[in-house]
Amino acid sequence: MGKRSKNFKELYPNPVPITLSTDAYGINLPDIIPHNPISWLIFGLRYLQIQAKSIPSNVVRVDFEDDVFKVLDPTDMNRLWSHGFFGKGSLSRSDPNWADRTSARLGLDDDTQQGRNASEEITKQRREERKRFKLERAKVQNLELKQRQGALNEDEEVELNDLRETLNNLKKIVPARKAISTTSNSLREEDEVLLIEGLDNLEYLQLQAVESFYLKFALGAIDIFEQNESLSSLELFKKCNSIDSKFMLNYVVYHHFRSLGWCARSGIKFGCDMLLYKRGPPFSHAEFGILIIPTKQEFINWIDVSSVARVVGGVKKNLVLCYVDEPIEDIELSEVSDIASLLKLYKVTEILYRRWTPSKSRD
Amino acid sequence: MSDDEEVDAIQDWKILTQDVVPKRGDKDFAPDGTLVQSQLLEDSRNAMYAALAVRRGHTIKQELVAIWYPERKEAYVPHLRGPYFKDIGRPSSSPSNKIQAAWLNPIETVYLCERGSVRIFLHNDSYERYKTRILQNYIQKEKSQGQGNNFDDDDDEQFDFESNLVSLSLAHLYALAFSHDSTLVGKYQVYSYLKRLGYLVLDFKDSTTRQLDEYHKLVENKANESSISIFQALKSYTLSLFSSKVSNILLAKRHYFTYKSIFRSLRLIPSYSTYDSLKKLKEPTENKLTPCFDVWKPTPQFSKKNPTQPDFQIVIANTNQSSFPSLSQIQELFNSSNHMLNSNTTKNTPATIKNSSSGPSKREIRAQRAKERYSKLDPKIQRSIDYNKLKDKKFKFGNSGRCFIVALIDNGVVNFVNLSEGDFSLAGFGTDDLQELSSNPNERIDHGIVW
Repeated sequence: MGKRSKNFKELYPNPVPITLSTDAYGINLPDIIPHNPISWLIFGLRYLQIQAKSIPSNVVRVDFEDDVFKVLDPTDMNRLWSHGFFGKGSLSRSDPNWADRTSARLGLDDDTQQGRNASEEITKQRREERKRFKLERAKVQNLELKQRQGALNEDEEVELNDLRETLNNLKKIVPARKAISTTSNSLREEDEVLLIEGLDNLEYLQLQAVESFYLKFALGAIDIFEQNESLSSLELFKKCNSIDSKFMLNYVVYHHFRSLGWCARSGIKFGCDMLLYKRGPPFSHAEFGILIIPTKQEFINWIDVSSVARVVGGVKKNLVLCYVDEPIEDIELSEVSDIASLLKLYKVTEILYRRWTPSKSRD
Repeated sequence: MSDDEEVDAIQDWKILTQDVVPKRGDKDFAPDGTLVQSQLLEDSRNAMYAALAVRRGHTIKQELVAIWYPERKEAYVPHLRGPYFKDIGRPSSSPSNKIQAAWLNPIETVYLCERGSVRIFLHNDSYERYKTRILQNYIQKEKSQGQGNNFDDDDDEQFDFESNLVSLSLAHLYALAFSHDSTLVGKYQVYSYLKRLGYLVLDFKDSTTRQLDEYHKLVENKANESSISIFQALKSYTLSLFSSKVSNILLAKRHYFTYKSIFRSLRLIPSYSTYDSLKKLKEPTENKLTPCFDVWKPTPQFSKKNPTQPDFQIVIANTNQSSFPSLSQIQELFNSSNHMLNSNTTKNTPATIKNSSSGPSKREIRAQRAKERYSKLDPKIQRSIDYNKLKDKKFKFGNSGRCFIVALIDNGVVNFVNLSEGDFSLAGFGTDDLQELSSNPNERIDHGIVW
């Protein structure tokens, strides 16, 4: 585990798609030792050295089409995914790896690319291993039954022992982290087009509205275009609010957790509004499920909350109820001009919800 | 955690006949047509019958009697005996020093009757006359003996309950005890459930000093410390020079050297931090929830007169009558619960399940190994591990430890939920322990930023 996470730390060192100046120019700022004036001097020099250079900037283009936020360029897609895990590949489970998977399937990879494995492949392989294990186990159980019934002949007894051995070996196998190449798959009819015209990336990265707005308004890391016209933060803000009436609530909570360094992603798979990852999905499972509740909401059904809690608790996550105080006065969102000041009128309160089992809390 | 199946498991009667707690995991009974399996089933059945066949009863010496006073809606126990009264009953004046008497509330009365520990009778005048007679006897004896040291208490036993009083059936008692207050049945359900699991349960009592007063003291102390140093003030001033806000983009276009500083400049949304709700202590909300029970884990040292801080505080809610509590209701409960502000402990972490027999569990072995690995590490790394562990605990269980348990009753089914005060920004009270463990204890850092 430790080795793996270290590997991921090298793969994904950046929590946001912003390049640190120290990284961009390879200049490290030394620690300041208060009683050592030389360290101050070195720090000052390096600091000025960096300030003299231009601010590193790497802005990603996002297209807004049919109410969908799309990133089309493969490098940009990769940048947004690997720098903070934004968006989802439209043809993939999470990270946009359709092109990789397809070229591996069609055998187009040269040797250097071998071993880049999509999580989908790894999952598939793990499932196959599991299936094999279950098959073997069923065989053992059948023979054991026969043994109990006293109908086991000598050959079968040998077989039983052998099977037990294999089963034990299978148990020891560490689940694969690298998928074995699956080129042996036969080609599909539609693959011909891909082979003849060259592998064109058909996939785009789709961003949630809150993600797009966070990248644009908070980080300034993307430019958004609608029919090739650039959208300002304010225009985007109004657009998002017109698409989704709960956008403000969602964004307030999203921004709150993102600005605390959490990787927040959609919680739809677990029936809640958001999931919180430390660092990101490749590193560890999400630790918290977030349920957003406007403070002014008067009636909340017990069953609604307990059903979410049960699902979230069942996958070893903690449920957090996020109560959001909204501005007291009614604000016409279409007339807002200063978004930051508006956001400051909201307030987030976290309440932790956990099932309590008396029989297990006693000792 | 996720060991729900453990809770819902079917009673295995064989446990009663053996000393060792059986290992979980393997199926006991999976019919396959062989004798082995049907024998297993038969064994289990016999074990159950054997367990049920054990004679149950009460020794006459230990017999407890209570008298229900309909007008008081309470039961009087003239002579306390047995282990039940550690957390049950309020002492009553008794004619004798040796004999203790107590009053039981409806819930306690029904609980003791239902578990078969008490025989209950309906109060009438003949008993009252008997009581006065004893009292007079006692006064006379005291007069004649000077000091009431040695006199027999047998008078009490002489009263023939059976022939003088009407014995109450359980159904009758239920009607007498719970009819005047519709919430009592629900309360009783929760009470009896917790009692049967061995918990010590008392009615909720506001026992701590008001949290608000303590809070003000804390705030004063904090102010004296003058947390912002000149250096930090200067730093934030210089930073503000660079960040001129243009075109509705929050993050100023400038050189960044650490991601922490980026996150810091993104902090914008005001968020709740520990004890904030004490500041705006408002008028009570309309449907104020009040704690119902204080609950302690079973402990031999327990005094109902001077109980320690309760381990859990229970609120009772009914799905028929209320919706999920609003934020202000929840915060009001935090504020009115028994909580010591300065005892900064993150409580109620789930207890680890102990397997006393059959050697250490896998979890214990893993914990042991982790411990060994930890002890070999550099102190600096150990510190950072401790820091992160403490932080994770605070995220998961809250920073202040303020919490309460809602016993939710849905048509007779009880579900328990723990609600605690969360604090993901970790920027206010209760972070001193984190500060101490952090890599640079002298510099105030943002503990809430997890990057």
